[in-house]
Amino acid sequence: MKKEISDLLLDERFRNWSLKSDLDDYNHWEKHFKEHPDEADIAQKAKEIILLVELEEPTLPEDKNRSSLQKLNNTIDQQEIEKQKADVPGLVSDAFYEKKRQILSYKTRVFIAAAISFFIVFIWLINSEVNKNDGQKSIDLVKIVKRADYGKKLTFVLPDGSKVNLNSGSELKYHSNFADSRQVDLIGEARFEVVRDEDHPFRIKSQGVTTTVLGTTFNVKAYSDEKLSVSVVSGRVLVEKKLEDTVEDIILKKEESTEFDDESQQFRYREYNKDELAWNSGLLVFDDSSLTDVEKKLEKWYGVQVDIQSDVVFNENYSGKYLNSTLEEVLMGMSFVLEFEFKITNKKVSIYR
Amino acid sequence: MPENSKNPKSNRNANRKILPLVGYYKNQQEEKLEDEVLWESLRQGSRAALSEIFLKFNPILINYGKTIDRDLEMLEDCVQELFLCIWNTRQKLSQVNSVKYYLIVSFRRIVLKQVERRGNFKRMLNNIFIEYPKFESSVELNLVRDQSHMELVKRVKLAMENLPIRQKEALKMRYIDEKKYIEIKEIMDISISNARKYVYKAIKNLRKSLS
Repeated sequence: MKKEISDLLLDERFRNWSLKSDLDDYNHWEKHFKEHPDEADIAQKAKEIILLVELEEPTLPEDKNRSSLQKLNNTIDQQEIEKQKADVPGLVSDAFYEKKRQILSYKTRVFIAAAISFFIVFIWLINSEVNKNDGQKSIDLVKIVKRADYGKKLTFVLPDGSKVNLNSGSELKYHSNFADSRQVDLIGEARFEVVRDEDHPFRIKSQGVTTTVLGTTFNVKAYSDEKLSVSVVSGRVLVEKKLEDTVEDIILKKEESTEFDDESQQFRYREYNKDELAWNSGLLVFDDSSLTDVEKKLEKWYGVQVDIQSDVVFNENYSGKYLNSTLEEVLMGMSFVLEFEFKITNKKVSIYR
Repeated sequence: MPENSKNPKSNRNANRKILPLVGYYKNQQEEKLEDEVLWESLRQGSRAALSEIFLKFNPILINYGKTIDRDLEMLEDCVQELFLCIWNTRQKLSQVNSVKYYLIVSFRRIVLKQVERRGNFKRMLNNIFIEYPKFESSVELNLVRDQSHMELVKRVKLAMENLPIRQKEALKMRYIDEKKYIEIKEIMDISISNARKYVYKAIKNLRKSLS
């Protein structure tokens, strides 16, 4: 059986022979070469490669390494953009609703049944400031802004290879020299998969709170009209808020979650909830939601304007989950349980009795 | 004759940084485990895992690649090609015994292919220049019977005309007039290494415009 260099390189026992790191493997291959002296030549070449790879330290400068990575990520991003152009257009177009409406009746029945049988209790406190999202801040030439409008989500990769999912109505800003100081400003909600770089901690600033990361997957929720919360899927995170003369902080580990309580000016542990974090998989969750909560959530998720007539009142707060559903499906599910009627015209929804 | 002269072996060894073998085998198990996790994440579609794998192995690949060909730009292109291919076929990737050597073997294949392509290109250029010594003479060109070959010759000629002046001069002297580098150095009043560089860049540009 004729052997090639690549076959030898992929053989762990051969590698051990080359490095003399395992006695059995060494003897085995010594014996082999005695029986097949014609292979000695090729073995020598392969051995040289292995010795080089294992014993010599590469001298590539770190910044060159990272700029090559950036080039790779740019190429892949470009590829993704090309692919998306060819695909069917995104969430909020009318064409999309058209497509979904065809299978509506079955799904509607399923979701109505789900809405009735589902009542999940969370510890979910929402600040009822009616502050709408700040108008866009002025943008320096040096800053890069990524934005997911209401009704849309955005996934992209930062220059260091870290991946970000932005939820609807969210914005992330960072400087063009990101590689030197990995810092971003977040309004809204995002999920991060951070590439490890111990020399450059990854920092997220949101609502005056700084979350510092080494390399992990976690979720930051910092909408202006909701309480700030951070949840960690895997890894470890330090969350800090500067108060007048102190710093309030907390370290979160895997499957822990925190929120900042304005009254006590402290970070509190709160229940870690996987569903809350599944928005990037298309899961829309209502959890003990009041009328206003529902209104705001629908507006953010679908990018529509919701108008609820004054005679519509919830007897109880609403809870329900919808996976990859259209606006119509969700409203049908709710209307049945909450006893209202609705009408969708273009980007406007009116709810009445 | 290769355009890039290789470093004499003695110089190379002087620059080698040797990793300590002590404690090396202790870390081997941990490293393998880490690589397995990264590889699995990659197969599941994690961009972050791809980036981590890249950062970890790019230096090793480039270091190894230099033993095949010293053209750094070409080596970097090969690494890009390798990782792009891995990303695009991530779902079809199988579990590997060693991520490091899988990458090395794949990288080697890509680099050798590139080197061969470039070798072929130079051979082709050589053939064209040998068969048509008086390259500018249209009389010679009309002697060509094969249509497609004539097309190629025309394209080469056009590409040559678009080269920067010094590159074109150096190339002509080297390939058509078959001058030695020492003669080129005299005529163009430049150093030998510059003469080599001009010829090297000329061939590179020709290859780019003809590919």
